[in-house]
Amino acid sequence: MGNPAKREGVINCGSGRGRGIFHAYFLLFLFPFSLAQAVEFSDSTPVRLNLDINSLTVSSAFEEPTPGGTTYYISGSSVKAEVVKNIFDELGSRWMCSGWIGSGSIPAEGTKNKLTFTITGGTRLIWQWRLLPPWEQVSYYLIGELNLSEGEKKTLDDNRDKKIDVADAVSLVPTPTPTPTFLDLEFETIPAGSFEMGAVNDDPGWTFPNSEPVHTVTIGYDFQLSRYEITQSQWEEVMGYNPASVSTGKGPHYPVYNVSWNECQEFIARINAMGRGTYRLPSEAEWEYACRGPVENPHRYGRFSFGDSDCDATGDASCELDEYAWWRGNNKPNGAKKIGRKKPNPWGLYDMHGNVMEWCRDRFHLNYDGAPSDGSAWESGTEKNRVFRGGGWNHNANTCQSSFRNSLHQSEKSPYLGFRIVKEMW
Amino acid sequence: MSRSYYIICIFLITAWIPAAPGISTPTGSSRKPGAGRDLNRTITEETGTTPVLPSVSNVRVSQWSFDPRFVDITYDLDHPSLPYASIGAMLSLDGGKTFPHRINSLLGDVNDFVPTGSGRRMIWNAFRDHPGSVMDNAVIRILADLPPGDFTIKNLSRNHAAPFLLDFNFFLREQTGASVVSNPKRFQIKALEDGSPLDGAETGTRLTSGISKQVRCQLIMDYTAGMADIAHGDQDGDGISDAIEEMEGACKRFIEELRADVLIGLYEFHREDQSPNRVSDFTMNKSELEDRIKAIWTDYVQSFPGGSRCWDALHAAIGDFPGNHQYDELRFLVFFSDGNDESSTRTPIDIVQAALSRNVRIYGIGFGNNLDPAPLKAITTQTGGSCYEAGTVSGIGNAMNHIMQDIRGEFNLRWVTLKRSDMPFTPSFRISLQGRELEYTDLPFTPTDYQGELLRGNLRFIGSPVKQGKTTVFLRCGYTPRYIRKIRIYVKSRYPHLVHLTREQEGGLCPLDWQMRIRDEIDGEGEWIEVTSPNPDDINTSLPYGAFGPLLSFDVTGLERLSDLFLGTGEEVRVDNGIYTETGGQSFLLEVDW
Repeated sequence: MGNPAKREGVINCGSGRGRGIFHAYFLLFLFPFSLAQAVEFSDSTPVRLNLDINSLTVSSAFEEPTPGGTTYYISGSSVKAEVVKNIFDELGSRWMCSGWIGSGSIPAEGTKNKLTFTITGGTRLIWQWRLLPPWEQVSYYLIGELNLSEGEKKTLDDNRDKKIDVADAVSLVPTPTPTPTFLDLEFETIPAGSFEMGAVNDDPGWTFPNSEPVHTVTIGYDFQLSRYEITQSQWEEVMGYNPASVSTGKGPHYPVYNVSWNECQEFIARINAMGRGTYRLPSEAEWEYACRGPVENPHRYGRFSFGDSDCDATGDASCELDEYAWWRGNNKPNGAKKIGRKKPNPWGLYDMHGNVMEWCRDRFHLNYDGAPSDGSAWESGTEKNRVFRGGGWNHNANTCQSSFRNSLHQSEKSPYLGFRIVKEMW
Repeated sequence: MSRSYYIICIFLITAWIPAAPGISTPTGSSRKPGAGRDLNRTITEETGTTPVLPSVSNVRVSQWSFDPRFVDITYDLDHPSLPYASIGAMLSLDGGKTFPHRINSLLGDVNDFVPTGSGRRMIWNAFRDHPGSVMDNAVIRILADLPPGDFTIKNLSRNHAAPFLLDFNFFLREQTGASVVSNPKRFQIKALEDGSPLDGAETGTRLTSGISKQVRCQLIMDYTAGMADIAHGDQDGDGISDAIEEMEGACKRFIEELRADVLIGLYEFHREDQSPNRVSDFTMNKSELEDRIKAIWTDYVQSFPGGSRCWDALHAAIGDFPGNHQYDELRFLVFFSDGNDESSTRTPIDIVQAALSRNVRIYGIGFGNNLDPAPLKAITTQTGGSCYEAGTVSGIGNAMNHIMQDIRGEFNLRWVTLKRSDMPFTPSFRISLQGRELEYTDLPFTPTDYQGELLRGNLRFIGSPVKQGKTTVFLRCGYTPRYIRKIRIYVKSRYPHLVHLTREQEGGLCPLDWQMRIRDEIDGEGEWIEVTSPNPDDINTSLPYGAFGPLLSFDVTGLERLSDLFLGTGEEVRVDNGIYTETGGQSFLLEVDW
């Protein structure tokens, strides 16, 4: 654009109201430009602006024409438009561009797949296509077994350089595509039953008042709880992004974290919409019941679902917890770890005591006074903090206990916090 | 929605957290009442020093090569102490000798609170302002001034709607009443419910310019004897007073400055013994409106002005605003009057009630030898508008410019509450700039009063009457569900049409990197118009949740009546909601509004 002009300066206005720019504008209607105003200004060098502009709208049944949609040109510009000559549609049928029709700056019709013209007005270009007859069809990428007319068979793979004349085929037996497990989700069935919920132990340094009073909960139904914490690949497949960070563990088989409770609801809504079952977050009671394990588990009411641990409540020395959980004592490398690499609990659930903490469905209440006793989520009230359970990769042993509970605002996220889900069984 | 709580709301402003140049506290202001934006004078009086104005340099202009409708303007902005300034731009067509044109269609570093620094950039939609012209010797002048002083939230109106949308329109006004006009993106916005801050992404909290909504306005022109009096001057000797010609000129400039998709209606009143006339229905056709204005004196007044039926004219004009779609429209009415009206059957009270029921702000320009400003102020202030007195004929244009400034200064704040219960909560919001904050607390909101389908967006075709076989219609989105990366519309029409994607820099919904493709139906006569994000697999490229604005425009030819388009025999338009089955089940409801 060349050098900028140097006509910067101040012109003074003594007239009073209004800031200079706008005041100057009002006065310009009266005094085209000799007034005094209290503003600084600077001018550009003179330029040529050509706003004699025309639009070109291009449409096509196939392919991505160049240009496509609506584009804009200075009148008199030379425009080159084209589209790929032939294509295969989604079913493998072959189509060829048979020319175009249009209006404005182009003739009413043409027979080629390229066109150069001078645009002088609003122009419409529509590419035309025709389906090639069977003898001109060529398949590049069908996968399966092709029975040819001579009684010969050909196996088709996805080698796109391989050309087969479909016209010679008697029939095609496509190779079936294996149906994967839905999102690779795996569940353990947790049978109905009762348990004592809360801080059953009374060990100094291991008991938290918000886990009291201990109360009996009877879950009158079986439910399925995901064997592993929801992974980053599952999250990404559903939500389209991965909120994890390399510095705190990132990879398809790592548990997802940095997800708010609200986002978990969105995740669940999406998988429910896929029509492959009904899913939800576990209630806090369901989570603790599943964590403690069955009646037969001698450690059901211990600190953890396994043996009597020798862990220090707040230290990081190696202890029995190392075998079952990723926690502060074995947090190397720093961050979340791949799922399922430690021992499961008696019901086959992995990472219940560590790796990432897990959102539950309930609103947070300061203690269990008034809590439901039927296993349902405690959702009354307006508290926006939601409960999370289980231990985390950078947490002390006492916060990895079966009874430990804490909360976070439902819209907040944490690198220590992920979730697992319940699949409804009815 | 009603605006009847307006006075109460002003007193609900709860917090001013002060401290940086640019926004000062009401109590800490160095300005005197009435001094307003004239920072120079008051600061000089109180401190004895001359304020240092921001300086501009290095202004560069270049027309985009890939879309020549737009022009980049860059400049450097400097001030020894202030972090921002106010910026405007003028256009010269004669190499810089005169600058008769203010540049309006600007986005980017323009208006109030532009940060100081080098490489400031604005994008001028030059084609919109000067279509078809070739400027061989254009010079752009960048004007810089001190930023606004104290301001506060004023004239808030609420347009809450389903699904669970909290929607507020308001102004940021200085103590003098002048509007702050600024890029909404410069402000940090935080919405709160019962005092708890919300996650902006989850709730789609978004501050935009009020004119991002579908703007619909009425102009009410006064051709009574008070205006037509030759005592106001008749410089060109055509028998039409200078006051009338100034009013017409101001209205034409006003129309020109409004965006291309604004619907404008026109009324006139000229005698007490004749009803006011609807000169034009709502239309986007600006040249048609200008032609209609030109013809009022001869076609309606016929050189015989008389007394006023201004109130009847206002009431009739308000009645033309449709009863629906209020939440997606910014509505206002501008009228001229001397405040005297003995002949109308309607009263100012009727007008205020009607305006509030249709969510119409009223702006007035008071002019005349026998000016009575009281009813004008009553009507305008009670509807959230303003009244400007034009003491002289030349003041009419100035008053109209104040109104234009007001309209540009309207902001919209919207969020989608996550609450679904019938428990009311108190919404509030904080606007901050450079570490300083304004807080506003509104009346309680009950989610169940606005329940609706969150996954269902809405699209609406809006058009204006056909003129000489041509019209332009716009497809607007009034509410965008979460995670929309593609919109697919099927159109089958016998009428030739050019389709345009309206992007953000044109005031549209879609970011610059969104694309439009048109796919013809291979075995039919229709076409699929696909609007897609740069990466439809990436939800980070989604349209903002809850967003609104124009999406497409169609220049249509060969048409006799607007009602034939998309609705006549063989015509069809629909939206393809099947594309959302894998993305959460969103959908759009498509409506043709003619």
